[in-house]
Amino acid sequence: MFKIEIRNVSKVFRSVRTSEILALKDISFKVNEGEFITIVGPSGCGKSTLLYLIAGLETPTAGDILINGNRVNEPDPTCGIVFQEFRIFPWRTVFKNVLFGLEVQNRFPKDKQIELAKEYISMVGLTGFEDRYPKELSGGMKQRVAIAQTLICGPEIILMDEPLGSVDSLTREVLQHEIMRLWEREKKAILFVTHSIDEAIFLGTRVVVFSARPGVVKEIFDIDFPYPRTGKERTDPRFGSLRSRIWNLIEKEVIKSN
Amino acid sequence: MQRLTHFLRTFLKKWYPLVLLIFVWEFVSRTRLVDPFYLPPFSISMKALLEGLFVTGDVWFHIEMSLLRALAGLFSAILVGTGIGLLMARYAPANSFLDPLISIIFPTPKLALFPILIFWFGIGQMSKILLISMTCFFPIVVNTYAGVKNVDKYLVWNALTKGASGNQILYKVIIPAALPFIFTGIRVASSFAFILIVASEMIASNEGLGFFIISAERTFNSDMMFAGIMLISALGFGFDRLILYIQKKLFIWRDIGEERVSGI
Repeated sequence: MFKIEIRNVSKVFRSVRTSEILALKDISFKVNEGEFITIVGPSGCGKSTLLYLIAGLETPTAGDILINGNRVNEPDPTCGIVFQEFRIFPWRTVFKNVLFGLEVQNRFPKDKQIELAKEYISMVGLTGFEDRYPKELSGGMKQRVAIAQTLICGPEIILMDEPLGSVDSLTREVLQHEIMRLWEREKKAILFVTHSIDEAIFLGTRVVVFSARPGVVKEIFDIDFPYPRTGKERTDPRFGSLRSRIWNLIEKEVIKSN
Repeated sequence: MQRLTHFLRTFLKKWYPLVLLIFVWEFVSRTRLVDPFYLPPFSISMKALLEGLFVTGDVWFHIEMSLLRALAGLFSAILVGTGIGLLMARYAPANSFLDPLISIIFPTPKLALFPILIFWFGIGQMSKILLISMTCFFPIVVNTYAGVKNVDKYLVWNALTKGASGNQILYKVIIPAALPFIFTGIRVASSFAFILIVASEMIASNEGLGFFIISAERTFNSDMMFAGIMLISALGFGFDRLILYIQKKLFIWRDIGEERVSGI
């Protein structure tokens, strides 16, 4: 059984002002347990929409999405999602933000919840910042809070929607390594959407390349650099040739959309 | 002593125009540049006010009546306004039914409806509380609606994927996110409440600060009239400061700048 199975999924958006928009067209691929899938493609190719469909936040117009063999009908904490631009609750402190999932699910007794929250805060390196509000944190720190907030719910699948899109490039590299280490330790299935071809190759076991309007899967690449990856892979000629092959697939559209 | 001079200095730094105004007021009246019958000196009006408060003590009753009506009107409007605002934002049929009504009634000066209220409910408490409540209702309902509609969809989604129920989304996401808007509405409403309490008590009342001011005018007791005006403006100012203080404490998590729009 596959962890996630996406079968011929299409998504059409209807709005009053514009005509119908075909955001995703006939998407099919499967994700195994413990895989790190990265999805790369130009803006507006429906990458985020696909994550929302998998998370049960939107419903596909056609096709099916199965998680552990069951059809996705509604959001469920087994499928965690980290949103673009760190959507954490601004009125909650770091501690209260991380605690959120356990609090609403009323899982574990109170003292166990507190202990777990502290554990996850320290896992993402934010010990000492528990009482800060999000406005007092840097972009990278907010993203760590969002990751801890998702992980504490114990998801089997983690969806990440351009999680590093709005942090500076140095922080970005540090967080890439952290996310990779996290995945190696927990071995959860990750679907990671990004704009960066480099990031997609560096992190993923497979890279799914999307094209835009309508969003379709252009090609899927297996990336066989062994983990833990250190960054040296970037100088490997195979890395460079992958990068140019992926770029060639989406180049025309990126230029067109600008 | 040092703390006192520090306080005085910071006070003067901000409020020197007010101090200056009081000096000019005192000066033109004392020197009879303006007839003190029409403009009694600040000190005399202040004395009248302090006597009314602490010697005869008969001003308290008027303060009590005015505040009681203003607060009863304001709080009932908060209760109904936030409730209906939430309902409209969350339930489309309620919105499509109430929105046209609200857009028509909102710009109508509610004071124009006061005669009807007197006609129906007499000149007692009810007509005044209703007038204030009706007026305060609108800014609160409109701001609550806007606040709920402006809640970041992704915050709701985030809560949903963490296993929050519908009620939890309401109490843990929507209401906290909309609360700054609701408070903006409450602040506007409270200034309306102070305007209308004075107006309604001047029109039809035998007690309250509006009555106090208008009856001083009718008996040509100008220092009492100014005393009453100073008192009501001090109350209005104090109440606004109280709301600002609560906002500051409650929304400590907000970025500075967001709430500074009209926060003098």
